[in-house]
Amino acid sequence: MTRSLGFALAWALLPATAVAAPAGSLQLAEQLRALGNPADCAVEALRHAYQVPEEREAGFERAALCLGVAGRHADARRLLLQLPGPLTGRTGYRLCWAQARLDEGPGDACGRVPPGADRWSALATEMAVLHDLRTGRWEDARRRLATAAASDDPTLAAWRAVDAALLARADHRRRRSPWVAGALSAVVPGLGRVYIGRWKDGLMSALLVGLPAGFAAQGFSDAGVRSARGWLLGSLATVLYVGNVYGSAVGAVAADRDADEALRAAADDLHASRADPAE
Amino acid sequence: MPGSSQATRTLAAAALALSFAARAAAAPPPPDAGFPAYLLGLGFAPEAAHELERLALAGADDPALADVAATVGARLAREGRPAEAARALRLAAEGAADPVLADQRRLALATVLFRAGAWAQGADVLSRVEAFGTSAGARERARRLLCVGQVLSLQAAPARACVGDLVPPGDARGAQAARMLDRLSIDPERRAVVGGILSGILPGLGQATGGDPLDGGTALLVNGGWEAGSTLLALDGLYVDATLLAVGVGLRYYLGNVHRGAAAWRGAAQRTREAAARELARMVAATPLGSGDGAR
Repeated sequence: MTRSLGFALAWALLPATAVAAPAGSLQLAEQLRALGNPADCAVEALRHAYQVPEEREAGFERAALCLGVAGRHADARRLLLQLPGPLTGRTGYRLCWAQARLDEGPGDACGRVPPGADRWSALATEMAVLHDLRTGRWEDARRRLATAAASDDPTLAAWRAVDAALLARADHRRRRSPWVAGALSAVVPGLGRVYIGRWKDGLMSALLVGLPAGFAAQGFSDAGVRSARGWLLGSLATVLYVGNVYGSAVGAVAADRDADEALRAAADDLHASRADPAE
Repeated sequence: MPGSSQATRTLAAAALALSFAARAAAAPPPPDAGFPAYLLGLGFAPEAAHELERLALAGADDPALADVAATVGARLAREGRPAEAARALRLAAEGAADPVLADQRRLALATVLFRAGAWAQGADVLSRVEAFGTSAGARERARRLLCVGQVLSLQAAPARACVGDLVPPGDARGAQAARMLDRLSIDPERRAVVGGILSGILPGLGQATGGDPLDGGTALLVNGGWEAGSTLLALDGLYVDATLLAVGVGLRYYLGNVHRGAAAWRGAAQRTREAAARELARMVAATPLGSGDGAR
């Protein structure tokens, strides 16, 4: 009889606790994120926050992560700011992580470690560095890295090393002057494009300008200034020459811009890789 | 020991009752409009709309769903997402218990569908309200909105019929409406032929008269250049070079010029039609309810 009572009690209580497990929607959210469906991941995380109000912060944090993965950093920030502040721990890190991808950047709270702060606060400081790297504020990033509080956290140490490497890459990139590129192409058509690292374009430009100019010269040589061929091909060569000088100058600006974009893309990749650091 | 057995049975019954109570307390709430409303409150209107659609497909029978769907649809429409707003408003209209409210939501749905460019779907919704609407006001509004949709979708013949119905010829605005309807009836393809012919006669003329004088000037210069070059080469006796320039280079630019002349006239006609449609739509929308033949 006592055994029957025990079974009844076990049946009564164990399944109830199993049903009460609050992690169902969060687990589903994680699975959806792993499957590459961040939009539904955010909804499931918010469903968890709705169904288990005492775990609202955890639900919002996961939803913000999923929104960030979906590229909706402004929505992630807006969501987290609806929580009563100040945000600490993983949620505080999540806010800084989302803000690092926004133009206004992380707030002051993300740039320094308060006394007695946890690991997440230390990790969050690196988001301010990342924002500086993304927006090309190299000196600010260097200053932040130089004045960062020492930490024995291996994750943070690895992040700082990668950030310093990206900063070094930015320092060593070659800047091209549009004036120099234009002047070189004015002297020798195509040389400006060789200067900006596009030697195939340079060779093509030299041919495109040189051939009509040569034939025009031949026409003038054969028939004097009344040569129609000379005037037509000479006009064509002049247009191509001017276009080549202008194109070389613009190409120098574009090459610098491409280099900046590559650095920005590298910083964005770093941001994505820091979405969910291990505990 | 009969007393002990009785106590055990009582305890077991109590445990079972406790079990049901615990399950009832711990089980997730049944699907209702609470979560979509929660999402909407957090500012995630598109997600709320998706959740509403999911609930509708799952057969949730919460009467509040339609009201939440109406709010979500209105929010999405304000956010400039008419396609998503239309899906939410369709749920709101279908779930409305009050037929008057359902008609109002259908009118909102049709407006949003028009904004999304889904003219046929919007007209379908309005036709139903016009035919089966519960009140004369709703039917009249549907008729007027349908007319606005026909005007804005540049359907000249239906627009002529409905505008004539709403704005009678004796009305002070009748003449203006007739002028706008004439503009709405312009055939852009016929205008394009005229533009092409003009540019064929004189390079750039179609573009210049079609509202793009800069393009016309460029076409005149480019085509004049190769024509002059070909002529000079021919005068020098370089007939092969002249033919190569005329056919290899010049013909391409000449045909492009004809094409652009046609496009300029087609674009100008389209702009005229759209401006007339906007003007007519404003006129129809400003017509007082109850006016026109349909109301009688």
